[in-house]
Formats: sequence, C-alpha cells, structure tokens
Amino acid sequence: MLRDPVTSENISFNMKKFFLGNKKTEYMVLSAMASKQKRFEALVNALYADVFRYAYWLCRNRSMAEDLVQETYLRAWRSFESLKDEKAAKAWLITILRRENARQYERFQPNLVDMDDVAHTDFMGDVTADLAQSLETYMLQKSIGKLELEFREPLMLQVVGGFSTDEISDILKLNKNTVLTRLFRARNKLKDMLAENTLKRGTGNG
Amino acid sequence: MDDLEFRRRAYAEPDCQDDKFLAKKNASEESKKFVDDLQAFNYQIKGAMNTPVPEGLAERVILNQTLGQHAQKKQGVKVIFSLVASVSIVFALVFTFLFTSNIDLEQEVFAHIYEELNHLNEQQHNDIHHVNNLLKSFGGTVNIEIGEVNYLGSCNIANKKGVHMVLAGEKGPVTIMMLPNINIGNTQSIFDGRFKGSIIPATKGSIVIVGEKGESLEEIRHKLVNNIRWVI
Repeated sequence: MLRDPVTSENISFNMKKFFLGNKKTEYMVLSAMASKQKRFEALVNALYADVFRYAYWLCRNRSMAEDLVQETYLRAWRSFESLKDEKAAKAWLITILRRENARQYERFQPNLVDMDDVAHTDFMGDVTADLAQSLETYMLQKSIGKLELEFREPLMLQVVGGFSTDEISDILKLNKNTVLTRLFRARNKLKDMLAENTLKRGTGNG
Repeated sequence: MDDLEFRRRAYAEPDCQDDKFLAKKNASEESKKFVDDLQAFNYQIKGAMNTPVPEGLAERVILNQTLGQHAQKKQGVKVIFSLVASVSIVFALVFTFLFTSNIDLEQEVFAHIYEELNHLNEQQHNDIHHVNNLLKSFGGTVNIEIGEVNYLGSCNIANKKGVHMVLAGEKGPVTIMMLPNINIGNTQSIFDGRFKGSIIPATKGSIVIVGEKGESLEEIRHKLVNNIRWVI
C-alpha cells in the first residue's frame, strides 16, 4: 500500500485533526460532567421527599433526618457511577441512607424525645371532625414511632417507599417470609396500640 | 389459601395482587370487608407517615453537593500544598542540622582559642611521652614525634572533652584539638579574621588544626591523621 508522502500540508492537516480531536474530547468530558450534574439534580428532585420521610421515620428527628438526607446525597454523588439502573435509584439511595444512619447511630446516640411526652393533651370534649381526624393521625404517628425498628422499617419501605415484598427483602437482606411476618406484626401491633389508646381515652373520659 | 394465611397476608400486604389472595378476598362479603378495612387502615398509615418535608430541602441538597465538590477540589490543592510544605520543612531541618551543627562547632573552636590565647605563647616543651600520657586517658596514642608541643592540656568543646595542644608552626603557633567524642561527616574548613584551619574526621571523633593565616597546615595534618591510633 502506498503511504501519503509527508508534506507540510499533510503535517498541518494532521495537527489540525489532532487539535480538533482534542477539543472534541474536552467537549465530551465537559458535557459528560454537565450531564452527570443534571442527572444528579434530577435524582434529588425526584426522590428527596421520599428520602427525607424515610430518614425521618428512621430516626424520628427532623434535623437529624435532614442531615441524613444531605449525607446520603453527598455519598450518592461520590459513587454516582455505581448507579447503573436509574429505576433502582430509590432502593440505592435508601441503602446508602440506612448505612449512613447506622454509622451515625454508632457514633452518637441521640437523646430522642419520646413522642408520648410531647403535647400530651386531652382532646376530649367538643371536637370538630378535622380535629378528630388530626387526633387520629397524631395517635397513629405516635404509635408508628413506638414500633420497634425491625417492624417499622419494612412498613416504611412498603408504605412510603412503595416497594414490593421482594424488593424489601433485598434492601433489608431478610428472606421474604421474615419480611411478610414483620409486616403482619407491624400492622397488628399498630392496631393493638390504637385500640389500647381508644380504651384509655374512653375510661379516662368516662 | 386458608383463612389464617389469608388474614396474615391481608395484614402484611393489604394491596396484594396475588390471584389466590384476590380469589379468597372476593369469595365472601366478610373477607372483602376485612381487606377493605385493612386497605383503609393502610391509607391512614400512609397519611400519618406523610410528614411534611422541610422547605427548600432539594435546593439545599444540590447546593451542598456543589459546595462539597468545590471543597473537594480545594482539598486536592490543599493536599499538594501541605505536601510541598512538609517536604520543605524537612529540607530546612536537614539543612540547618547539617550546617548549623558544624557552624556551632567552628564557633566553639574559635571561642576556645580566643579564650585561651595565652596558651599560644607557652613554652612547655612537652615531648611525645607527655602527649601520650594525656592521650591515653582518651584511648589514643601518637606513634611519632609530632614536633615541639608548647602547650598540652585538655579542653572542653561543645561539652565534650578533648586534648588541646599548641605546636610550633612555620609562621606561628598551631593549635591542635583532638576531640574523640565529636564526630563530623566531612572535613570542614574553618576560618576567621586571624586564624584558618580545618576540622577533620578521624578514626575516632575529629581533629581540629588551626594556624595563623598563611601557615601551611598540610604537613601537620598528614602527620596527625596517619600517626594517631585510637583504641576503640
């Protein structure tokens, strides 16, 4: 095969190609960086509320929950390349969040205020429908807060996260039957607590 | 699916779409109501768990990430900066240690000579036996006559004892200090306005030879270095 003779035109052409090629690479790198940032922002906007709620029900403290969310997303950013399937993003974030929570909890065990002690007001008397509704929600929140983490967590994943039982068993590294049992017991315990509360309220008022 | 399993499943997964479960649910009004109640309860739980999210959280998360990235870049610069700083500190320390220690030694030597200037003019006429008597206490001997020793005594340089001699040179007195306990790496030339000489590493410690400017010290140096034996 005949090779092109090396002429000055050839050299300058090659140089041009070289520099243009370089610029193209630079552009590709920059646009990849920009697209990573864009994807990350989409991940924040789409899931921050779920992640926050999960964090809140994990530690039951709003400011700690916010710190957890921040830390979770920072870690997510650092290992963003490991997120291959964006459909799995929520489970991925929650896995990071749980790990972070465990780490923080090891470092520092917060003196959490028992929800039971906060504003324990006797609502009996003239209650409007709205107030009755919010009282019910309040009682339910209190009861959820009281659930042990092993029951609260699968419930959170199912209700807040919208995960299937299989997905929950993946996230919690438990087998499916254990997850089902815990979910069953979680709702059972909640019902019991609520019934007990109603009973107490009834006798307190009667 | 038996009743117990059905109830357990309804509690665990009220929205279960499993065929057997749905069939059982639709089999009787009672079981339908049971599941409906649990679904309503689930809806309540969802509402209760739906805690308000702090305002502007998403923006704060993105801001934090952007700042964190910036800080990471800066941290990289910091790491390089601190590396450079520590390397230069090590250099500075090594430099000062190597040179200042010798400079100190030079100063000590001259300080001692000036302190005892009168020894330069002594005429004690010590011979090799006197020299060896003193050198012995330091573990050394001289093999040959090193010339007229006009002064012989001990000295204290940098808190280390040594032998101090004054020989007669061609131009004037030549000070010799044998310092068995002071080690130096290389021969170091020393001088000031009046004297010049060198500190030479020996088999044990070092030897200082200082004469008046213009004095040829090479011969004495040769004699001393080759004819002192230290018992180590």
